[in-house]
Amino acid sequence: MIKKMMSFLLCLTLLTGCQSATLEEHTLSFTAMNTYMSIRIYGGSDDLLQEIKEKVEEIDATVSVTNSDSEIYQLNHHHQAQVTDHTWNILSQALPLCQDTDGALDLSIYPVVKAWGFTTKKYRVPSSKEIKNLLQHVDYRAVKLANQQVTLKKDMAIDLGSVTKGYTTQLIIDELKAHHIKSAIVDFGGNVHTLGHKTDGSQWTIGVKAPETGEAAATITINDLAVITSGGYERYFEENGHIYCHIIDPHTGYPVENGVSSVTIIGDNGLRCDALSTALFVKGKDKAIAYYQSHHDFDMIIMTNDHKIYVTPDFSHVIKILDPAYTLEVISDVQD
Amino acid sequence: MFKTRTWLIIITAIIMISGILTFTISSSRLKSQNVQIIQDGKVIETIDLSKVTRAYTFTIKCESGYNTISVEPGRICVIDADCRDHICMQQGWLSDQATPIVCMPHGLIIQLSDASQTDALTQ
Repeated sequence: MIKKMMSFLLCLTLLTGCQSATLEEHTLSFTAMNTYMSIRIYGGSDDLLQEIKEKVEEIDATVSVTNSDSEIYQLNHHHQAQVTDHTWNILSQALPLCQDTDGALDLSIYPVVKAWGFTTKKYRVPSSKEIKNLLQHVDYRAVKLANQQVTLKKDMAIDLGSVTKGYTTQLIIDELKAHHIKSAIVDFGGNVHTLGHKTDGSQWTIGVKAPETGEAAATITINDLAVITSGGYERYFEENGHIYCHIIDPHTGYPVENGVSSVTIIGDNGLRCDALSTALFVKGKDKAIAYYQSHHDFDMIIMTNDHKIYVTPDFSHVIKILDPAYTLEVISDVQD
Repeated sequence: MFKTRTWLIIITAIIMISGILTFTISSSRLKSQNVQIIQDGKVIETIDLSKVTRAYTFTIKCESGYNTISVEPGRICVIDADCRDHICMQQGWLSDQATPIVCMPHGLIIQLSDASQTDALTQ
């Protein structure tokens, strides 16, 4: 018996030894796109992570709305621009999602967001007349794409911020796959994308943040998926006791206020998860659930101000509630 | 019989009290104690906050300015900086694994390096 146990332990030691020798952990944290980014890979090298960092900086420089050398800046100021692959890819994937969400996601909301001061942190509540005027120029359907050329109507401006982080994490995961990395986790300011399983074969555990505590209200376990959240609690300002969050409803021009504190989308495409997290946050609980029921090709966790966590059926057995203030409700697969 | 019961009560009480004490102490301080200070993607300093016995401050300089960091037993924050937005200072003490202290203008990140219950936190 003792002999058997000894040989088992020996095998275990050897196996663990082999694994750590071949799959060394490399991590890199840096700031980009107004947030922090951290990449952890098993296998590969520090040089590979540096290459990825340069790619992220390249995307940032290309689609930044404030950098005067960026393609988006040029487009917003001249209403026409010849664009390179990153801008083209983001626009051609995101615009159909604007349509599919009935404009709950609208890349052309930027002038309204600017008027509220969210781009400069000089917050203010614009007059209803000002909002009405600005909304006349908000229409994703007026963004025209043809042969890598993008055109906007006069007085329009776009911002790809609501989808760029998801696009970037997807690009990183694809790049890591091309380098034969089998296990990695990318965290882009709370937008998480995982590749494969952890080196011990288990799934990645991702926490979903409770706005009140800043800690995980619940956890889920995943592999090979993106988990992207939009929440009103991350950026907001307060005036005369009223809280205004940074996500603007493109239909009203006002910050979203619908009882939802966050929407988390789980899926295999980073950009789509990013886009849907914003769009379904704007739509609110009931319309977000109806959108899920007519699509079914992603999963979702909705957290509400009254401390409920709504989860799609596939994740109802996976989710673990850590914060006792929250109760779980399972979303029906079909409409009632 | 009486003796066994008394002992059981004493042992249970000790376990409960130490449990409550552990919870109280750990919840007032960071659960994880290893902090990394990263500048421009490179770890420039690692601090084990559990080994800090006396408060101290130090300054990190970069091309665009400086950040002064305050370290106390079990906690860390930025107390002074010449960046344009001072968001790093407003963040206060580092409070959880998911939200590092970030100074965008100076490319500075102060984050916990240990994984806790989760591998990442979506927010």
